[in-house]
Amino acid sequence: MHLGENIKSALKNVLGNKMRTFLTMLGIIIGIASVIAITSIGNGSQKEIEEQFDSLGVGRMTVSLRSNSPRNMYTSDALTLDDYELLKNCSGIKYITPTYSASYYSVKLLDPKETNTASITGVGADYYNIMSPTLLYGEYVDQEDIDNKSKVVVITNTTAQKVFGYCDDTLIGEKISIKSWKGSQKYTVIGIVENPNAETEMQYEDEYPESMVMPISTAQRLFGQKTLTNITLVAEDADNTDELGERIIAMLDEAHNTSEKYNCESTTEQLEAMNEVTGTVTLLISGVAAISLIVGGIGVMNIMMVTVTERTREIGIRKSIGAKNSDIMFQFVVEAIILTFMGGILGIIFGWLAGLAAGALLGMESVVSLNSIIIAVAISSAIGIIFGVYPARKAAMLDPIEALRYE
Amino acid sequence: MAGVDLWVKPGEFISIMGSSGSGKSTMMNILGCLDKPTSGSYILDDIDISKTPDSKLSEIRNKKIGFVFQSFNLLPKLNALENVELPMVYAGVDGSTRRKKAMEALERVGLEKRVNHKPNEMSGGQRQRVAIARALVNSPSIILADEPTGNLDSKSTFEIIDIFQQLNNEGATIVMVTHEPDVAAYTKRIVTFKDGKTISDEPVEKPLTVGGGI
Repeated sequence: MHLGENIKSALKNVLGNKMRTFLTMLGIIIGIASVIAITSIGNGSQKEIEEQFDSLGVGRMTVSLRSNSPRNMYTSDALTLDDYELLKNCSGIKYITPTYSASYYSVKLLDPKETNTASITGVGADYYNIMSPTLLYGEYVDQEDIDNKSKVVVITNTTAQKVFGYCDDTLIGEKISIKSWKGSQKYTVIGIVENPNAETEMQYEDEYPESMVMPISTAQRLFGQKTLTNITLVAEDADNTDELGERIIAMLDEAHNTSEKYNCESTTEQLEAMNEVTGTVTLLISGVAAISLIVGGIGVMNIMMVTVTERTREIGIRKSIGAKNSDIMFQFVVEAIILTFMGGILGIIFGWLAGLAAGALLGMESVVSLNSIIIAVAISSAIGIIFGVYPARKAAMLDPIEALRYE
Repeated sequence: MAGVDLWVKPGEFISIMGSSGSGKSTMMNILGCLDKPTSGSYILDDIDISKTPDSKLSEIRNKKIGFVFQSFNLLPKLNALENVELPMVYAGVDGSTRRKKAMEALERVGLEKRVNHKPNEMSGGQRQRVAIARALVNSPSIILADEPTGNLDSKSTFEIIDIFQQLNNEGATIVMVTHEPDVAAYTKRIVTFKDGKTISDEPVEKPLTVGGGI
């Protein structure tokens, strides 16, 4: 029997009893919908994480003191500009900058308007290349500023709005007061960058410190420190950060005559770790949802058994006029597949809508990938085959004489 | 059933009579290739059916046998045309040829105006005519009718017999099971069964004809 004829007659039967068909498909619909919804949220959050890491830069590495070192820490272990000078000569590094970050000091912006505490980062000349901030006006900290320990700062557009009440190129050259335990000092604004965290900060309003950047030498003098918070670098080869990290740690161990005290983390590793976590969670929840697919499949099998019994006479008639066992088998398997396939399609639609709704509710993106659609269709059709074969076999094996006598 | 020896020649119109349990149903099942004799043999068109594997029997049923049942046995969800097309669907005939041949068969039984009606929209006689159209559409070697008039009023009964006689005149071989001697009188030969044996096998001297419809 031709496949087209088979599908046509199966559709006729399936659509002939809409309520039963819908109830039978419900298990499949719920199963596929939940898998699609969960994977779309999972894909969305994965995509979000990847975008965040993309903005952080690929192959970026951060060298710092280990917080979980098994050994006692000494002041001589701290990273200094000498370490930065040492690592600068290490091969395989594209950009490298020392950083000194101070968010916990009581630093206040005074002039012209008093605002919050400030989060100050002292940086090297490569910092701009590594972080690639969006420079709105003016320029960034350069080597000359560092050598001269110039009292200059780069502020964000949101800080400019809060301190000056406006933000345009006339602010370049304006002075800003930073009040520390040493008293208040004036710094010249040389550049304004776009605040990448503006949205997050909006939610916390005034509690968020004003972040700004100044030369590393200037920052160390302001806070009276000779140490560094960390050294940030970009590897020439983003895929080979492990080897570079080991070399850097070895160099630092040698210079400080110690071991197991430094840490070199790459964004690649972090990204992999994060992806693994979201991947595992998505897989786990999908596994739970898959159970409802099995339950749905059993529902389909149950209804197909009922259908075969109800249509015993029809099977007898078809056999008496020449249907082969394989024709009957095929007919009922196709019916089961059509049931689960339609369930799968409806499930994809409902799952996609549920993903969108959940994404909107959780403030997350929901991404339905072509992959998950293909997998959902394949799984639902496979369920049709697996759970349709037994009833179809039962139908095919019916004795035509008995079947014709069935009332 | 034991020791039944029956020859059916092409172009014959036979009625099989006998009380229930006499073995005539078993005979029909064997003639229709729905069942195989436990011993002995059944030769249809030079094919030994008793030695044919089950997988081939459906093809033989499809091509060489046309069934007409007492309870019509039409598929209720299909209209007259689709019911008549069904044996050709299993024979793998393409759609346009199927429709053409099914229309011809329905015209032959006088139902060309009812092709789109479902079985439950037709009278018993009309349903049986659809079943006959379905039985003859693949040009079978033999048409097997199992009490085809058992569920019909006398007017419809004669309509059906008229069709069978016309088909027989055109060369069709027909074997019909019936309870009613009145109906058997229209056939050319009567075989009577009792306790699984043929107790008589006689030609009908002068078969009645419906002729022009009563």
